Amino acid sequence: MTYNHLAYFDGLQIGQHVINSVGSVASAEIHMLAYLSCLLSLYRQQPVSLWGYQFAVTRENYPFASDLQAGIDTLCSSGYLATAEGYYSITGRGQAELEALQSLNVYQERRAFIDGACSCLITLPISAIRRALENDPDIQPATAISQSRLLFSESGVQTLYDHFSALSDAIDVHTDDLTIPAVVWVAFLAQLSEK
Amino acid sequence: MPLVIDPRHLQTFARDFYMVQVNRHYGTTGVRICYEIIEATKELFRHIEPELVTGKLILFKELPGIGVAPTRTNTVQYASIEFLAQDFRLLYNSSNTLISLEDNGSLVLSTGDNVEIESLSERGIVYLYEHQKDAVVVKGEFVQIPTLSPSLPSVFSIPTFRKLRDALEDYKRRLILTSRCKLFGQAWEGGQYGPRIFFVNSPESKIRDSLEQYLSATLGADTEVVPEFTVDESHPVDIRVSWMGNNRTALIEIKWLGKSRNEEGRITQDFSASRARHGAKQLAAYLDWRRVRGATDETRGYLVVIDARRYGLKPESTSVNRQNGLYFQSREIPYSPEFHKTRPDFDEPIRMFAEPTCSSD
Repeated sequence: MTYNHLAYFDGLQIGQHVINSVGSVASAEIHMLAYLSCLLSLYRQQPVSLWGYQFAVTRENYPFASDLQAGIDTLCSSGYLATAEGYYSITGRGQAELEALQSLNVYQERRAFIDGACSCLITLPISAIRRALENDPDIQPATAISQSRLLFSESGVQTLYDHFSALSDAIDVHTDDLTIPAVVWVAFLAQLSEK
Repeated sequence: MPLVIDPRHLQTFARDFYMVQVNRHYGTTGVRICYEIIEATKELFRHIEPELVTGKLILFKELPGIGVAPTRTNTVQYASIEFLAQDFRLLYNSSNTLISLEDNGSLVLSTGDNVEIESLSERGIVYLYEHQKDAVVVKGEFVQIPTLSPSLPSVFSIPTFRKLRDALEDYKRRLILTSRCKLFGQAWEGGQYGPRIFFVNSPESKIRDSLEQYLSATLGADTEVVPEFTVDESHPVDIRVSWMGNNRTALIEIKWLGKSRNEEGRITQDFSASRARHGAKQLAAYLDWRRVRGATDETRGYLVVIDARRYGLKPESTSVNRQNGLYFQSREIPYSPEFHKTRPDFDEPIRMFAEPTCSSD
C-alpha cells in the first residue's frame, strides 16, 4: 500500500490529543475521530478530496479508512505509538516526531480540523461521539441495511454541505474554534437517538 | 428507513445550544473559560458523587477586565480540586455551594451564601448543577446542557472504562447499591424513592435496560452493546458486548433475586440463591453452544446477579427493618460447579446487592 503521509500525521495528532482525555485510544476511535475531523473540513466548505484518503462504513457501523490503518500500523512498527491490549498511546519518540511534523505548512489546516474534533472529548464522552455518528446522514443509510460501503458519495457530501451551511448560519457568530460546530453536530446527532 | 434531518430542527437546536449561547454572549474568551469550567467539573465529579449533591452546585469563573468582584464571606481557598472535594463531601446538604476558579489556578469554595446566579452571569461564566441536571447561565438565562443517558446524573460525570469488569464494578457500587439509576429505580414497587423491598411484576426488562444504557455510555467507542442477543432459538442472552477491530465478545446474563409483587399485592415471583446457580449453568451452556456452532470470536461470559433479597418478607409487607433489609448484604452465593475457576471463558459472577429503604424499628 502506498504510504499516505496525511494519514500518518493524523494518527499521531489524534494519539497526542486523546492522551489527556481518555489516555489510550482504540483503533476504531482513531478512525472515528479522523472521520469527524474530515467532517469539519466539509463544514469549512472544503472539497472532500482534499482530505487525502477515503472512508468506508463497516458492517459494525463505524467509519474506517484503510490508509489511516496503514498509518497506525507504521507508527506502531516505528515505535511512535505503543500498543497494549488493543489500545494505542503516543510514545516520547512519537511526540518528538509529531512536533517535527507540526512545523510543516502542509499539516496546518488539517491540524485545526483534528483539534476541533478531538476537543469534543472535553465536553462529551467518547462513547457518545460514536453512538451519535451512527445517525450521521452519510453513515446511517448504510447501517440501516447492514451494508459496508464507501462514504462521501457525491450526494452524501452535498447533503453534508447543506446541513453544515445551516449549522454555520445558526452558530452565526464567526469563530475559528471548530470545537463548537463539532460538539453541536455530535450532540444533535446524539439526541436523534432519543426520539 | 434512512434518517432525514430537518434543517430547521438543526438550526433551532444549534441556536439554543449552550456553547453557541456562550460564544454569542461572551465571545471566544467566554468559550475558553467554559472549557476550563467543564474540565474542573469533570475533575470534581471524579472525586464526588454528583447524585449526592442535594443543593445547588455552582462553578464560576470571571471574565477578564470585569472589575472588582463583590466580597464573599465564609470562603476557603484550595490549591486543587482533589483537596476541595474532600471538604465538599462534608457539605452535600448545603443549599448552595459556589466554587470560583481563580486565574492562578486555585479554587475558592463558599457555601450557604445566597448566590445571585443571574448577576454572577453578568460577570463571567456560570455552570449550575441542580436536581441532576447540568446548565450554564448565560446573561441571566438558564440554558440546559443536553443529557446523554438517563441512567447517569451528569454529562460530565460519565467515565470511560476500557475493561468491562471495571464498568460492572462501578455500576454495582454507584448505581445499584442505593438504586441511584433512574431506569433501575423503575423496577421497584414504589419507585426509586420507595421502600425498595419488592420489585414490580416482571422487572427484567427495566433491569436489563438500565445496565445496557450504562454500558453503552461508559464503555469506549470501540464497543457495541446489544440487548437481548440471541444465542440459540429459545434462549437469548441479556446483553452482548463486542469490541471492534478484534474478536472479543462478552455475553452478560442477568439474574435478579428477591420477590416481585403485582398491583393486586400478590407475590408473583420469589427467587433465591438457587436462581443464580441456575443462571451460571445457563451461561455455561450458552458458551458451549457458541463454541459448538463454530463461533470464531473470543467469548467470555459474565453472570450479573441483582440481589434484592430481604429476610422475612410477607406478601402484605410494606416496610422492612434494617436487620432484615440488610440480612443478605454480605452473604455471597456459593456456586457449584464453580465455572469461573474451571473455565477460562467464564468470569467470576458479580453479585450486586440493592439496599432497601429501611424503617427505624
